[in-house]
Amino acid sequence: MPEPLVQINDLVKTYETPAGPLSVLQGIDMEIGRGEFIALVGPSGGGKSTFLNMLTGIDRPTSGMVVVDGVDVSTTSERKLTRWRARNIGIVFQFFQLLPTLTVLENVMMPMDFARVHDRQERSDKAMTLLERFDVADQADKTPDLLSGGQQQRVAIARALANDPVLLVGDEPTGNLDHMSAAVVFETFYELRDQGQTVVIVTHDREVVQDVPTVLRLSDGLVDSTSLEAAAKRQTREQQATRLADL
Amino acid sequence: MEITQRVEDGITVVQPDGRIDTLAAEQLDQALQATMAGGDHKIVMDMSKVEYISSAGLRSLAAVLVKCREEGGDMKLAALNERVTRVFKIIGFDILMSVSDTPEAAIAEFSASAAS
Amino acid sequence: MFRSRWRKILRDVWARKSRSAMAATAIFVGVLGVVTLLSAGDLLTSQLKQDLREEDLPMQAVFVSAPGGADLDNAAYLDALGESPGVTRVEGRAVRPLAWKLPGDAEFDDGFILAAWEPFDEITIQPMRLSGEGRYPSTGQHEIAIERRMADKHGLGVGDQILLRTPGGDAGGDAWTITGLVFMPYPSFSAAAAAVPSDASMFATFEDAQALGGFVGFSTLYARYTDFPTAQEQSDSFFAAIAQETPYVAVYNYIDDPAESFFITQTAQITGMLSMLGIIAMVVAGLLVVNIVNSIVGEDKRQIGVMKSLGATRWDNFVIYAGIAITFGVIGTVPGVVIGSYLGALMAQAMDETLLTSIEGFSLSSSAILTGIVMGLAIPFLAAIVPVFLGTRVTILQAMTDVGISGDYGKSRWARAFNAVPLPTNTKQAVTNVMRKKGRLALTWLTLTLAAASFMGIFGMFVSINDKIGGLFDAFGYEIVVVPNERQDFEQVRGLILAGVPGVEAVDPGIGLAVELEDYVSPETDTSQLQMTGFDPAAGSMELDIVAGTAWADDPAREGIVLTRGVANALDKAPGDTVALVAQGQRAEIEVIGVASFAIDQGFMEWRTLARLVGSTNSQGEPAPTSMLIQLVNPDPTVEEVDDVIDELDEVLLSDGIAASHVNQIGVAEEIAQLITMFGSIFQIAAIVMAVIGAIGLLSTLSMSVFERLREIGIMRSIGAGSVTIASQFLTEGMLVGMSAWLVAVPLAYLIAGGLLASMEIEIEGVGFDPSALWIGLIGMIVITVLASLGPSLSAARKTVSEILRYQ
Repeated sequence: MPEPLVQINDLVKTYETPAGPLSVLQGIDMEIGRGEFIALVGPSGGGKSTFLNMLTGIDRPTSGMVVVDGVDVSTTSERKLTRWRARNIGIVFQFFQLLPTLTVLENVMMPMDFARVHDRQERSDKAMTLLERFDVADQADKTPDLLSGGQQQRVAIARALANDPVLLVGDEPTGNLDHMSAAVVFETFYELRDQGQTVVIVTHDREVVQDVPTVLRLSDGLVDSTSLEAAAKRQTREQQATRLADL
Repeated sequence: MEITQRVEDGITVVQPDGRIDTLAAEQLDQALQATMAGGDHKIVMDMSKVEYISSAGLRSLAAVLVKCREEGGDMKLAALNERVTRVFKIIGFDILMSVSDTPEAAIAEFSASAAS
Repeated sequence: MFRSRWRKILRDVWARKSRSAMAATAIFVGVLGVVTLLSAGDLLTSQLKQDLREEDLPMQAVFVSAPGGADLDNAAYLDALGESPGVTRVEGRAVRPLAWKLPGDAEFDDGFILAAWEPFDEITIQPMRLSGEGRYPSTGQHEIAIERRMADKHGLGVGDQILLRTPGGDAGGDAWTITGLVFMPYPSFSAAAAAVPSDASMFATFEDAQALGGFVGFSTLYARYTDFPTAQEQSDSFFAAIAQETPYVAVYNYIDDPAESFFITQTAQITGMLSMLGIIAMVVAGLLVVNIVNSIVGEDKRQIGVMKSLGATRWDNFVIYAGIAITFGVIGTVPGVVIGSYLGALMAQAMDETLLTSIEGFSLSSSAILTGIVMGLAIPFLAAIVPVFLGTRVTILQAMTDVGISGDYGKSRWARAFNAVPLPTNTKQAVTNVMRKKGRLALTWLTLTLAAASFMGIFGMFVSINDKIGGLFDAFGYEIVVVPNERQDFEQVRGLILAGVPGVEAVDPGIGLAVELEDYVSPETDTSQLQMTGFDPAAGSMELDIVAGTAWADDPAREGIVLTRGVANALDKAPGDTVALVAQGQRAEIEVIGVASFAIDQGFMEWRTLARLVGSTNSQGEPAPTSMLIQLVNPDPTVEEVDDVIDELDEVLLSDGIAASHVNQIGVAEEIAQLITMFGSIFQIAAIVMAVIGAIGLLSTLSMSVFERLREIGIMRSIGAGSVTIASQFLTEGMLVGMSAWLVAVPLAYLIAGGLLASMEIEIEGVGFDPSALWIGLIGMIVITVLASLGPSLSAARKTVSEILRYQ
């Protein structure tokens, strides 16, 4: 069996609060294979975002180990991690976080500039290609404020993929979108999976994750390694139907 | 985007050709509204030539669906590609409206429900 | 270069137009100030250095008063003086008023005739140079040379004729021919101690000049020594030699090191001070940039975090935000340097006459331009370093999850103690907020304090100076001083004036000269020369404010000296003590009969006593005054009215063969007042600029405050706080900053006033700090803080809950 892309051993994250120590992650063991599409669901405050931050190295665990593509993310220095992250991880945020004073095309080119890959013309071409892939090429010269939420998030996905990262993560990527846009955006993740991209999404939206191959539930700091039960699925479907009936 | 329409067995078959992005969605919407205004509320959407549909396009289809049903008709979809199918499933449109493999099958469904 | 970084820099500068404009404008103002003032200073000092050649300058200059009517053996006197120890060269000059006009003009203009004892081509001290074609005039040919600036002004050239009004000559003037144009860069002074304007200077041989000017003797003696230290040692001997070897009476004596000519150092001092203003404005602009960059980095926290998550290093972020600051610098520096160079050249041309030089044409000061560019770029960069360094230190996690309300709020000892104080909640909140953002507010507070202190200090000082100087002229009961070229029979001249000049109430005798006062060191000249005024206490020519002793209250002819308070205190003398004066090389002990309150160090004596002391006698050996003090009937005449009387006076005297210099006292008082106002205004403008920058800083700080505390405002609103409550909180914050700044500025203002006075070397008795400045400063501060706080307060009040949530 090929090496997993991500290996997590006994991951613990504890915060100090005035009310005493708070354990957000309580010892998670997990592996993520290459090309997998994983959705992490769970209640608010259950530690989903914290978990994702451990994966990307944005935050450090209290104890335990996180290895991504052979790199121990939990102990590498910040400076090295910044460089490594630029080329290996693509992050999609809930609130898009596109730079408002740059155009869509410039936003997508930015990671390539920081990682110092390709020359100038190549960067522009590659960025355009990405925008086309996500159906926002016609917005290339506009600033983000002129795009709809769904369009902005697709630009953000294009940006996240600018440096061909081994891992694409999304922190509530559809959390700020209406249902229609959320569906279109989420469908994009399926396509990426089809093309071999490893995708890890954190979300509390049960509707969009129904057909995701691996759905993990994170609650009380531990990962439930079984998929959503069929019953839960059915329930979700019924809720969906009710909502749509109100249209 | 090019939109062709034909009538078969009293059912209007609408075939958009290309990507239903925001602009095209408006175009499609106008075409469908015109069709309904003409009294046709039995519509089959032949999506065989549609690579991609935007959220605007989805909204438009939902609105047309509601209108058709209000007038005692219906809108059925046919020949969705994998991508569009996935989007539909995520939203749950597959619960809401009938999706068939071919336009003929969709037309047949109209007859079937008329009969029952 | 990294395209992304440049793109972000330029886009961000453009996106925040108003703030970019503020920062760029502040830098523009600073650079403009620096370049203008440095340019003017550089151009003026360069010109002076070019014109005033070190080897041509005298080391000692003595202004003398000539005895009237006597036969003077000038050649012998010069030889004798040449024997003085250390002296290598002695030359004699005469500078006298000479009225002239163009043929066809109705009235005569004031002018001056300058003549040297030595033939033109043998003059070595302060020589003139022939300009263009032409030659020096010869004796007895009615030939004259004029300064080239006089020729330019009136369109005269070689071969033209002008009419000169000579004493006892034709009332319509005698025709003289211009044989050459002369360039005279060295300043000359008339007997009335006024600088001779170069566009009214005429030159002739000494013989011709004597006839033209109606005089026999010199007005100035110049001496050069083997070296300047020798000059310093031996100058007193020379001074004494004049009294002993010649019939001249020394009126004023100064020594000056040619290597550091007074004119150059004075110019350098004045322009140096003005340049300091420019630099201070630059620094204050830098403080504003710090504020603005701080607010930008604060607002961009999320973006910084995002960029870091995309692979931007700290260095990348540093370059971007420091780049924004430098861009402000570039935008402000370019126009600042261009306009500043132009203004500086204009300023130099405007000030050149005052500083006794002449700038012709337009030139650039490369040192000023370079300084402007360097400061314009360096200051914003330096200003940006700390806020950018701190702001980009934020981790991705912190940047993306900043909630705005700090978790450790309210825990410190101070916080708890403060919470116990029974103040209205609003005020408490305001104070707490002020304390929390200490760093940022500290900058604004500092700027406001500096601005307020500068404004009040300068204002208080200049009001005081104005007052004192104004008071100074109150002591003079006369409006005109007439200084005849040669000592005359006082009664005769008096009779002439009273009979022939309308509007004259009284003509009284006066003597004005300097003598050596033992143990006294003049704060201005560092010598022991004390300015003496001799007058007739029985007449109304001087109205002294006697604060000790009886002076001449009982006996107007009393012998003795009245010292001004500054001198009396310096020597620790009181009425009844004696002081020693040295004049004519002889020492005399004089009783102190009074102390007067007077702004400038002076000594006053009954004029005959003084005349005898210094040897100012007429041909009969009787005491003779060196000047006439004229009171007008009109108690409060204008400058023009006094000038009219002077014109009549001149005519009367010239008709009788008497040539004299005159001073319009009212005019002098006005000029000095204007000069003070001019300098005061320049300083005030600098202070106001600083205040404006401080206000902008406060505005931006408060705006940032509102932005950061949107969530708080939302919460306050949701619990029912009204718009007035929210607005008043920010208003209170602004007022707190402003008022505390004013409080600290008050003692600082005193310090600044003191420092300014010391640096300008103004030794005017009683000048200090006028307290009215403090109240004006307070009102100004209130206005500024209210205006600066109003915008953000209203903006905060207007924010609705939905707006806030939408943003979050």
